[in-house]
Amino acid sequence: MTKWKIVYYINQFFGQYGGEDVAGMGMVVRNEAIGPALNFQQSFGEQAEIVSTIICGDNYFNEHREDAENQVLKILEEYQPDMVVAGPAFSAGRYGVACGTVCALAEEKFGIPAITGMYPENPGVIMFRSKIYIIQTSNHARTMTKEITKMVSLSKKILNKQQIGNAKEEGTILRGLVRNVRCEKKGTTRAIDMLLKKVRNEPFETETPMEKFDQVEKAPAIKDLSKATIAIATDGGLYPVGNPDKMPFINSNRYAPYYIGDKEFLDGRDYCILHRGYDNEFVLESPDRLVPVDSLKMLEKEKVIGKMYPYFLSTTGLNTSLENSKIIAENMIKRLKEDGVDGVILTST
Amino acid sequence: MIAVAESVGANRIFPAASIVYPLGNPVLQRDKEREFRVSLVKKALNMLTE
Amino acid sequence: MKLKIYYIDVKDVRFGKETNFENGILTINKEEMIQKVNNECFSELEINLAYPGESCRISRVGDVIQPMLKLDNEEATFPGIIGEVTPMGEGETLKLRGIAVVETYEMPLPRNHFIDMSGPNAVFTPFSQTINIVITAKPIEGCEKMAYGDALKQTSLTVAKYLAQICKNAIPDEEEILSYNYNSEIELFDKDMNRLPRVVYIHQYLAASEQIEQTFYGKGYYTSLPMIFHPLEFFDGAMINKNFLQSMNADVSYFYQNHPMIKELLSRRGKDLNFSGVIYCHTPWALEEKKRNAMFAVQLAKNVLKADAVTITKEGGGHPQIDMQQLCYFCEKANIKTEISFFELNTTSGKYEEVLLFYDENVDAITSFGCLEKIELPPVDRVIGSTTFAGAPNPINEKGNVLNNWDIRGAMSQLGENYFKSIKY
Repeated sequence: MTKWKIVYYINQFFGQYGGEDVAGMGMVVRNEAIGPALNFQQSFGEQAEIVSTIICGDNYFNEHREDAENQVLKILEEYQPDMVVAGPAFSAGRYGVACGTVCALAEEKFGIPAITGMYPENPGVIMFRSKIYIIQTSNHARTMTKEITKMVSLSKKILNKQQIGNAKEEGTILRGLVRNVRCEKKGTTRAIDMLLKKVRNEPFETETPMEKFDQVEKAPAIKDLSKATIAIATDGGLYPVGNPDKMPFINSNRYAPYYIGDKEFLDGRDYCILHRGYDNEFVLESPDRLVPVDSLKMLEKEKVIGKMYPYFLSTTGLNTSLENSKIIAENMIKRLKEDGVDGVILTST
Repeated sequence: MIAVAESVGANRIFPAASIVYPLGNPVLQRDKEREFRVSLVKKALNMLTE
Repeated sequence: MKLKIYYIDVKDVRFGKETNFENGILTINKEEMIQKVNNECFSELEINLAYPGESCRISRVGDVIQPMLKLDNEEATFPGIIGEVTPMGEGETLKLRGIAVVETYEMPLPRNHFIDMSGPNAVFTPFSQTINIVITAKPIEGCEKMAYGDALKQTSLTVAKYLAQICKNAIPDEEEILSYNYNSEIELFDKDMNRLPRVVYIHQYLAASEQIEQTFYGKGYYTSLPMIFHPLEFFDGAMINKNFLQSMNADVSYFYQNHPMIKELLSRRGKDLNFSGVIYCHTPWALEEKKRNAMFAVQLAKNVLKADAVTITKEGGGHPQIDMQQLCYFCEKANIKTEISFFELNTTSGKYEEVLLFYDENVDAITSFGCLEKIELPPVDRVIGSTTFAGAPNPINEKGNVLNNWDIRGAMSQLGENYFKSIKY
């Protein structure tokens, strides 16, 4: 029977080399299971073998990140494990970052599945949860045995290519990801089951929970509009005819600036729209309905505003992921700040 | 999409005329529409001063 | 009102010299049928057969229709489009099972869909399991888009009706009697029924214009107020997609003809709920109109249908979520419990934080009909329809194309004909 080969990563303390005094120690590879790796081996049983335990000082890993990563890559290349396990790091921050880094490397560079365990507030969680599974642990090593059991259970599922359940079922920290699973019951049946539970005041669980978005701090008000430079940005997907910058029509991660110059208004014949989320007819007829160049030009003449920024920034806001929205915004802001813009009107469809 | 903007935490939200013509009204004559648009843009600009 | 539906199972479909239906085998004289259903808007009309298990991909799929026939009034079949406008939901209707009429579009569409008859993507759609009679029509030069769309629909519905006519004298494999009454006197005094919660279904649709996608008796209702329809009308061909030239948000006609949510509610009526009716409700663009529209829908639910609870499905993507939120707001205010269901279209990056576009404590019961996921398209031996496909860098029969599960026709149905849900992990 072939055994699964596992490479296990732990720090200087769990590797039994010492405490903070040896946190600066470099990476050591032992061809046996040590400390938590041994617990893991014993809990897993015969089907897996810890082919090596990597032990490294938490300070060394974090202060010599590049070297440490290269060493890990070499080790993984040599041992070719079926899986990598690290920690659990509980609430130890440097240890958590090290565990997360090792696991992410295994996944990204070699496609080797890797898991670790951390307390939810460990900084390693927010850095790595979207990349790897992290078992949710307590904040103290007292619960080591319990956490190892959970890690073994998850590892077995991964190695046997079984379907991984949701965070609650597996004891993992929410990765903030979503994927499909097939149910026995049809969607309509589950919908009515849920509604009736609600009607009968029985406990029910929504399949799509709601998340609160974080609050953005309000930028300070413009004191004197008549001295301000105002720019127009839009997510309505307005681009020059022919879409010269080959802007995407969906889930864009960039914007493009277009020169307005001396134009008093925007002519529909010069533009096209790449956004299927709304009926484009009205804006194509008169693009000022989306990008109000005519109005800002007039208000500039009347000295209501100081200046209209001579470019409008355009992107397509259809099915844009949150991450891409942030990227687009950061790039727009960078340009506008560099060019001394004081305020932006962002039009959205 | 104002409700969306509110939910994601935008601070200054000016209600546009419509999703399909944010600053305009195709029913009006061109020059009347321009007047209408300028008045909307003025109100939006005032939000920047608050 | 009572509707008797006869089902005939078609086990095989072939082209042959004589058109007939015998021992479960449907034989069609192709030339005869093409002559019957051709249209002056077409320069070329092809009819192809696609079988389950074949290495075949049907490309740029428009609508999928179940062959059916109003037995007691054949002229009324598919009313308002090829049939006379006549109230549906009563009498006797014939439906064929095991086969489907599939349209492909030879004109540009906002989005493209496909059906794989085998391989890893077949599992997502029921139309990999049906023998598909595929209609591919090329438009004549200078053909106007709407004219093409209408012509294609005329053809596909005529085919759907014709196929049912061929089989109409065979002994049916199954009979189903659906019955439903609004405010029946007998039911008013039914103590058992009255103990059960009154559940109303709101079918929220998204119409870009009168001539596009979902129509009821042949007309689209994009400026309408909410309306009350009879549940049985849906099973009788009253709701059909006209064309998809401006959007591809709606489910296929085949699902309307067998409306899964209404089916669910009818089957549970008298058991754990009192199904109190169907409200047909639009998705307007402007926020003020969304509020007004939702308010009217809830007034109907409350005052006319006396709802205790409401379940809502939608079409389309992001902004229709706001209408659902408005409906829930007005319902909960009127002490009506709500539940909503939809496909999570916003999850292009696979991250959970993008599923919902709003935060509202009134909306606490949401059923997931799945989320957007990338899929790989394996190469296939045969393609019906154009090999150019929006979003696919290579011809659609070759390898190397990565699309979304939502691009499979019949997959991730927002009416609930769907066994997938998304989990947060």
